[in-house]
Amino acid sequence: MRLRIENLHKGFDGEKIIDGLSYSLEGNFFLTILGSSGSGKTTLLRIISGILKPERGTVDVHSERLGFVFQDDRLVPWLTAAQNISIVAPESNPVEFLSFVGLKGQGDKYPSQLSGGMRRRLNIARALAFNPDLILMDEPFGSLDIVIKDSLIDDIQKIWIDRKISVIMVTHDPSEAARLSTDIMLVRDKFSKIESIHLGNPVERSPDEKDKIARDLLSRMKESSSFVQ
Amino acid sequence: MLSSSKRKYLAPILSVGFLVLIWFVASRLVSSSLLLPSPGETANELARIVSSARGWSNIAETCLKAFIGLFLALGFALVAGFLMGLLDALYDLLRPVVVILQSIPIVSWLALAIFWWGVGFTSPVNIVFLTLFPIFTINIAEGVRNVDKKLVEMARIYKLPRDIVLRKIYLSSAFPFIVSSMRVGIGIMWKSVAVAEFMVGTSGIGRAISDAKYSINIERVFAYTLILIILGILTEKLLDLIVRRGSRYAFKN
Repeated sequence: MRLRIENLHKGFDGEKIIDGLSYSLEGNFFLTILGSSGSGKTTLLRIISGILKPERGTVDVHSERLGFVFQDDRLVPWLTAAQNISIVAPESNPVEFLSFVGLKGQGDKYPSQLSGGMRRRLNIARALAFNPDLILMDEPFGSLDIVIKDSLIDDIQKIWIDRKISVIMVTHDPSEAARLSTDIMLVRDKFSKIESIHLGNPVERSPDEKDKIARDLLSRMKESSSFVQ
Repeated sequence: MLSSSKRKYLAPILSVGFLVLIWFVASRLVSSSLLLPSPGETANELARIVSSARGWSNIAETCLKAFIGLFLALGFALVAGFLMGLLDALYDLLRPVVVILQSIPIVSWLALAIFWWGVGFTSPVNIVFLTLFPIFTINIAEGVRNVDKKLVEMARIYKLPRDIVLRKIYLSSAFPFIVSSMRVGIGIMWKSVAVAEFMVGTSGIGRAISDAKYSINIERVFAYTLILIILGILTEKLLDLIVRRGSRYAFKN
């Protein structure tokens, strides 16, 4: 997988969101785009997905099939869990992916009958069933119960290891980034000054190292934030 | 206390029974079958109508015209409504036209129908079409526009085929709007087909009411009116049934 972003610019209503971002990465990566709320992370993710056009600059992603884990789940309310999977992946076996994310036996339920954590799992199962070579995740653990969040982080790491899928994840939480990432893009000043951090394979990282990385990331985020004195 | 399911059945029976009772008392007080026939006289006339071939052919003719008009309106409105719902420019352009169409009173259509389509079968069908088409179109367009844009974006990211997006996202999302406009439309349909037959028809219930009026047969006016009311109730029940079956079919694979 290769990601190359060159001199990217994007704004809304005259306000600059992304001001000249350049970045490139190769291999089987787990890239975390880390930054505080409102820093334009989601906008960047939407540009990478191709749904949003940049004003200037290029994004080059060598992805044939792209899965997306939406922050707000975006499940079709009148389709069952199984149908929500088969609508994007008609050839897949929904049961396989439902049991993979721990939703075995829930295939006939509608999204409104599932809990928040279950909906997020379904959202992830849908992205996996699409058989992607790259998954984009927009705050996949946001608004989740702490216990559910913890097990889901492990699940996502397992997916990343087992399926050899590259991942680009957006988050504002340094501890999520420390646990999962091979690479981190720390966002500051509308992407004009990003900090690229290469961490290597997260599987070999000890809990102590993860804590240390998380604390370090947090202090760097504080430095770059104009809101914190 | 009655259980709620029993009350559901009992309440309409009681209220209709009460209405018939008032009607009965009023007809006794008026005591003129010319001004207000009694429920009994009306029931006798109703029995005469449903035991005659002429009566059934009138009912069938009216149903045929009403449903042809309804399905034509629904078919054209689905196309027009979807196009308007999907294309903002078309919506801005056509919405005023549809609103104007909707505001034209039925009497104006009736006046024009005599010249445009003459007296007979076509005029009532066209009038049903003209009254229902704008109602359906506006509602379907609103339903399509009401679609969750985030779901559409999801569909784009996962590159869903256009026909799947139209059926599983847009149509399903517009479905409640279509059903509620059909519910409104069905009531209007029976009224407009009857009034069209009354004015510019050669057959059907509306024409039969017109004939009964000329021969001063008020029982028959009442009896045919009752038939129209029953038809209205039956079609609404039918719609409920179709909606329940249809949604099961449309929303599952």
